[in-house]
Amino acid sequence: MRYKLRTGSLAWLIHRVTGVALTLYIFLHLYVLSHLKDPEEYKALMGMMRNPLVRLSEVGLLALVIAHAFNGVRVTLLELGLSTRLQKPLFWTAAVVGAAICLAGAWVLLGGGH
Amino acid sequence: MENYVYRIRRFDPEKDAEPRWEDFCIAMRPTERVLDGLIRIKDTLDGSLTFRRSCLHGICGSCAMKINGRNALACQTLIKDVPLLTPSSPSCGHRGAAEKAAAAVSKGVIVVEPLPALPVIKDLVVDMDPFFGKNRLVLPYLINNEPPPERERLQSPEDQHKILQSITCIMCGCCTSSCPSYWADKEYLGPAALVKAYRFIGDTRDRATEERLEKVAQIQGVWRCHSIYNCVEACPKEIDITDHISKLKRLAVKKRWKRS
Amino acid sequence: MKGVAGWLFQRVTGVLLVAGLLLHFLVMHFSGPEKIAHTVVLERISNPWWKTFDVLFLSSVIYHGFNGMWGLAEEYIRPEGLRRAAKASLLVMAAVLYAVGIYIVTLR
Repeated sequence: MRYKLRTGSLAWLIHRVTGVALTLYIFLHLYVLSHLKDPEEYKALMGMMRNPLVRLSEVGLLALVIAHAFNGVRVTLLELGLSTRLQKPLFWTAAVVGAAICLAGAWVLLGGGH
Repeated sequence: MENYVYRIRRFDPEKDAEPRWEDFCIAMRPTERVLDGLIRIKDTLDGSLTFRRSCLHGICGSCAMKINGRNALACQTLIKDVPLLTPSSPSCGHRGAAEKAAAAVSKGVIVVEPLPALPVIKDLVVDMDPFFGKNRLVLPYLINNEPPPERERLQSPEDQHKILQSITCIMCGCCTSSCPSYWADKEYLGPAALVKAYRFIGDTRDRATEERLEKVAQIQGVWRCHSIYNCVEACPKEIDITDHISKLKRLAVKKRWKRS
Repeated sequence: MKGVAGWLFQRVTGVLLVAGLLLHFLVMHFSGPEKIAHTVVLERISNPWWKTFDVLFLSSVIYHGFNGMWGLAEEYIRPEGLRRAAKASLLVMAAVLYAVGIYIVTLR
């Protein structure tokens, strides 16, 4: 369907895609944690987590979480009765604040703090 | 006068297996409306071009179509307000001297298509039956079995104000056919029918709120709305449709918990 | 009125998840790498308060994620048989994930 993408539909599209990605991530996360039963295996896995590529994908994961959470809050507030006039400003505010949090998170996750 | 290319999605069920694109070059004043161009094309270039129009003043809702990627009434969209596409070698100019002259220096392309997600009958004419069918499902009439007063059932100006926006709906179909939820599932009631439901649920003279809420608070009713706002962007009457649907969602939640 | 509870619960779990994730990220991922060391993690899950949090968090995540996927199946998969199959497999996946999650939380 070729239809003009506007702020609201862009937000919806991002929400859907990040939602599916995060649901799939639950599998990976619980798979990693299931190795807690064996200290050696767990330590080996955690050693892999120091790989810069894995660190980078953790930043990507943070971005997915932030995008989904912020837009979820936006839609919930709008459904609770916040004026439609605010739907676009809210999206752009969330985008800017979210990007800032992602940058700060990247600093920590990529080891800038240590 | 400026030159424009109308790139029109055409379909003749008697000749075409698939819809096709056709370009028309015409001279127009930027303050004219997209519909003026369509009427001029039909009058001077191709009499077989088929589209609906009636009042020409944004009241009948007949000329709803997709103009450069967004739904709108052709009679309410000025040429100068259409975000023009850059002309990519228009294939027009074969219908006489006037069109050849207009093809020379074009200001841009106006893409005109039928409303999305509704069956095309011919050219820009779509079958509105699926759309009106959804409307019938929400009981779009006043229900009140109390004995009628001597004169009419009165409504205070304040009470009327609560449903003022939803009353202005002209049922053109711009909203429902712009909704990604409707594109995915044609059984979804869609924004127009939900606004119609709100118009009677919010009417203080109506007595069938429960019954109507039962119809709209369904999986393929209000819960299919994901606050995408395409409907609000498309509505030629500037109805805050998503806000109306949100109110129905909240009302459904309240009723559900009062009942149990 | 069908779908009221599902819609409302998606919002409620969503809000819980925002709060939970904040805690989750701050405690486990932004407080130094030693916070996810094996002994530290096992000690944390043995704490009844953390256990309660983990079960609530796990339940919210799985409900929210799979209710969302359920909605996508309802909306996009039109052939009824295929839709039913997709929904059934979503249920199985959710159940397996929940079992694995509970197993992890009750390791100690």
